[in-house]
Amino acid sequence: MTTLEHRAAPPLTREPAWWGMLLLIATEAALFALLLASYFYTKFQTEGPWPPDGIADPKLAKPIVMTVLLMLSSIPAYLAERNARRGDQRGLVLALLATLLLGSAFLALQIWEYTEKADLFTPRTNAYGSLFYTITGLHGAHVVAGLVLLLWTLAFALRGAFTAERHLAVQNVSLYWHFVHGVWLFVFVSLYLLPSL
Amino acid sequence: MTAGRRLALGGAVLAAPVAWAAQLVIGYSVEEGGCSVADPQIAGADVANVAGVVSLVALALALGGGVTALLLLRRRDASGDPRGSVHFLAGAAAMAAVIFSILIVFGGVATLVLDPCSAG
Repeated sequence: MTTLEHRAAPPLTREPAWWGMLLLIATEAALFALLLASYFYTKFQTEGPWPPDGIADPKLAKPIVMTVLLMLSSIPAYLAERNARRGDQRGLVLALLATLLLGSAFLALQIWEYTEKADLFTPRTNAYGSLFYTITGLHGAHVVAGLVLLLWTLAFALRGAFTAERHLAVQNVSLYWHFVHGVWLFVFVSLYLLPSL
Repeated sequence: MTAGRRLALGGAVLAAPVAWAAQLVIGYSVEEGGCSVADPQIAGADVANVAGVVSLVALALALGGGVTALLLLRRRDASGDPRGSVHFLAGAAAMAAVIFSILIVFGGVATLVLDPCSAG
């Protein structure tokens, strides 16, 4: 009889750095989950309209464009990893550049959004303002970190540092970027879409 | 690597964070539910006692994950771990068990020292 202990399983084929990135993403995801839980807790504990204190419902046009940009940016991020796996250097550089461009456009729109929002409320206005800027600001910081990682990876890709066999940095940056995109969907639905419905 | 070791590794990595999350969510639910009635009890038991038991179970789960991680670290099988991923994950699980156990203890002590049903 074969017990679970003795049944052979294939070895873990991923590098420790890939697992490290996965653990980092798990901790970051927990941080965002707690912040969003705080947001909803505050929302349901608040009597009256939400957003409170006469703050208008968030406008959706810009956040929708931001969402589309970030969703689109996941495609070249995936292609970068695929091209690296295939040893396609030119394709890798182009895909990284496209991800960088779309990510930078997202960030530029977020800064524009902040300049408009700052006229309506600030982090010191009330709990809603604090949570709004903390959650979107933290996500923005993750986008900045992702762009720095993409730039770093692009610099190495331009030097031909990645091969079909060794391209762990590209895999990890791509994984991180998909996470940044995934988290934004939760942020968008919670902070923009639901209050507007 | 055997299927049992792989299962143990997955359990060790997940045990401590899941235990902490369970303490947070179940503890919160117990206090919100139990304290919202005139006689704060859950199935005949005092709310603080229930919260204490939840914390103890969570701590046992987190420590169990830590012990499993240490056993995996000690019984290193290089042939079944060519890239060192099992060793890395077991080390991360052991560290996570320490951190999350401290969090669980602090959360548990708070429920014992403070009255869970006092407002504000």
